[in-house]
Amino acid sequence: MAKQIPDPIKTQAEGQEPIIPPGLLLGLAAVAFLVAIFVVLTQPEPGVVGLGAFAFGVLAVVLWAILAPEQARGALTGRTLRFGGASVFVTVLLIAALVGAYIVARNASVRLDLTESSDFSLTAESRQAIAALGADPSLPAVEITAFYSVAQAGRRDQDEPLLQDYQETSGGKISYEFVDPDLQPGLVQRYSVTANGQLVVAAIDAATGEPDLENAVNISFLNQEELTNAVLKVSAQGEFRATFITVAGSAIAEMSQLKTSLAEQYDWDVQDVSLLALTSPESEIALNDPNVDGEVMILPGGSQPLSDQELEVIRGYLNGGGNLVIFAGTNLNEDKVSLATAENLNAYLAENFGISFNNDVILDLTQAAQDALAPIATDFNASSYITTNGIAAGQSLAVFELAPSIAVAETAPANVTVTELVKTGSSSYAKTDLDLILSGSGARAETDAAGPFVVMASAENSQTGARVILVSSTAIPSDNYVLFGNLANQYLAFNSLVWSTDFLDYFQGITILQQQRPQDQPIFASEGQMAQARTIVLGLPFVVLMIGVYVWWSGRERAR
Amino acid sequence: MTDTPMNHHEQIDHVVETGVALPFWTVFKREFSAYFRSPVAYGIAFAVLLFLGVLFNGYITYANQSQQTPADSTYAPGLLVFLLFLIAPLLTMRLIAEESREGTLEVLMTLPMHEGQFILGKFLAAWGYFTVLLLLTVVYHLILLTIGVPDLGAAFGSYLGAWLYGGAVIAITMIWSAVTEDQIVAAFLGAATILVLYLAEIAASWVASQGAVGGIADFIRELGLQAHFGVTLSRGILRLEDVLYFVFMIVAALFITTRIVEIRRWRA
Repeated sequence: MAKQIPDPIKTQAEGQEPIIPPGLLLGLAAVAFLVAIFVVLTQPEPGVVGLGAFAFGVLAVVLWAILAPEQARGALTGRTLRFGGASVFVTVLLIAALVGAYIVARNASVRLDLTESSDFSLTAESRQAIAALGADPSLPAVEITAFYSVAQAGRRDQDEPLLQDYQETSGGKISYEFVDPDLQPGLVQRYSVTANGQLVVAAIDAATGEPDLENAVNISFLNQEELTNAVLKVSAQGEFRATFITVAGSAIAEMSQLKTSLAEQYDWDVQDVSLLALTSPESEIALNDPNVDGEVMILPGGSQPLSDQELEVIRGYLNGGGNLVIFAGTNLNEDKVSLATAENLNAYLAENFGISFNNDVILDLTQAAQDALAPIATDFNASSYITTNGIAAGQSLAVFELAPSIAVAETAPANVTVTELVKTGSSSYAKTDLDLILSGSGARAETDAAGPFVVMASAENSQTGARVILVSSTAIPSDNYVLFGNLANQYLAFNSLVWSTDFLDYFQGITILQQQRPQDQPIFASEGQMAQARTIVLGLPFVVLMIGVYVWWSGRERAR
Repeated sequence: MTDTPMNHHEQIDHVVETGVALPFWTVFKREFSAYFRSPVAYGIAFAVLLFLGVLFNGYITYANQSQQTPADSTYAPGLLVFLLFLIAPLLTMRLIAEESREGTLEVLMTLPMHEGQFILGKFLAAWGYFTVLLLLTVVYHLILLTIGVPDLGAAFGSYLGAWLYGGAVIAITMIWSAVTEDQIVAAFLGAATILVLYLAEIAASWVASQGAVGGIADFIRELGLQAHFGVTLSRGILRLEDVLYFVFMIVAALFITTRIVEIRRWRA
């Protein structure tokens, strides 16, 4: 018998114990996979721990296979291991590996919108707008927070591809996040969310990195047109300016509500400044500034007529296409005129815009707020934005105080369009003897002019673009009569500024309207088509049945 | 050489020994053609198509009368997917259970063919039958094309989803066919399993409403079938994880079935 020569390599290999016992590696792998499964079960995202544990488990199995190749081979092919407990273990390992691959694929967020009508991706209109937003470095980042509960997980899955498209198209300027309102009630409160399924769109403040929740837009459910417009709205950085002119005896203090709305809700630049300061070389405000998207000058009452120099500033401003809103004040000078009713200003307005204040006071004994000097007007122009936006037709009223009537020229100057906005009732009358009124004697006399009177009017010069609005009372922008039901005073004031600056057009300009898709077209079939369709859908199963009967019959015949 | 055609087992034996084709392909061909020789398969197709036809007829009649309903290209595959809890067990209940009951499984397992190939062939045959059934429902889509403007992309996603969904549930129900010799029990357990997976989304909502940790509800939902079809593929959203879910379901179910058959063979 030949003496067997021992294989030195094999002997050496067999003699060496692996640094880590293979059994320990398998145990570690099992623990790691258990940890990974636990994390997946209990956390919304697998995170570092879950993925790390999974990776560790895979690594441990690979190491085990390297250190103990015979065991590994046996687990896959060996008879005992195949049919013993290891069979279960290998099955669990396979499932764990599949689950891991699934989680990796899910986190990769690979989605494709197959629909022809791009139901789950941006339409051409939205894509263009969102791409422009992403390309403009001056616009802020926007955050979309979707408050979807677990019960709305289906909607979350359906909406995510669209939100992902917003993010990608904007180059990352738009981000989105899903929040489970049940898990994060604090965020629900902070974002003023009232129902599950709502989305909050907010611009990110570049300085703080926090969402600007005061100006955020809340959407009840995801609708692409609404969401795109909300994104454009919160990111809009149009520069609008309202300059309140400080004059003697003005009612500027009563306009704080209007100024706050403009500055805080609509991010306008609101300033108080005198007319002469505006023309100063040191002035920070440049009138007719082409870099500003919209500007308006407001004369908030005043007891003294404008000086020639001041009137020249206004003339130059309006000739350059400026916008002016004049509220007639209640303070009069010793000549019983105010800034609004002074001759110099009104002569200019009448000549150039076809509207002017009369030097009178309207009274109404029947339709008044507190006394006859506070007439109530209910006749609003039904077609003007100023008298319709936010104002219920036929139900609203406006209260004026010591209001002069407005004269409207029968023939407007060239290129000027005049619109009568608000009129008092037919029971109103106007007195020109202001001494008599101030002495407390306001009874109607035969010589008094009879209403209705125009108390609010606008004029627009189509050549220069200048717009002028005359309002007969500083009570309009104030909140003096806020307890009245259906009071339109502040709407009228705010709408006047919006209209004069084209702020409305600015918003409409950034509003996207989606086109109707061919797939939205409803089904329409003629009687003949319906009959054909019925024949096919109800006949098809019977054709299949007949084939089955034939097959069965043939088989039976063959068996015979 | 005799002209007598070889029986099923002889065919497989012959192919395996000569190596002219993959054994699973032979099993597939044999099982697939068996479906179309059996009146039961036509009976199933008749019942399914009649059910779908009646509902589809109601849908287009209503849509035509209301003149407000756009053509829904996902209607037929969506309904067919729902019916799978009945169709899949009927298709698979006999596949392995019958072989076990008749004692032919052990004989088959003596052939030099891996159990996996045997299972794969049977699975592909059942899936192939389902594919034919699914393709028959394309006729509904063609009708929609004549009376409306259905979204072809959504229809493609819906059919792809229904096809993968069918593969997954057929593979799952095959496990029960391997576990038990009783075809009725296998069908019942298969139907119950599919229903549980179909209703997982509702179960997830319930679990969430009970104040459970959010991750558990999400896990239950993602384990279910509808989360990967009902709101995504059936609507035309193709997500990698949905496709992988169905593919992995098939792989895992076939692997488990193979293991069960292996254990049977080992015990025998």
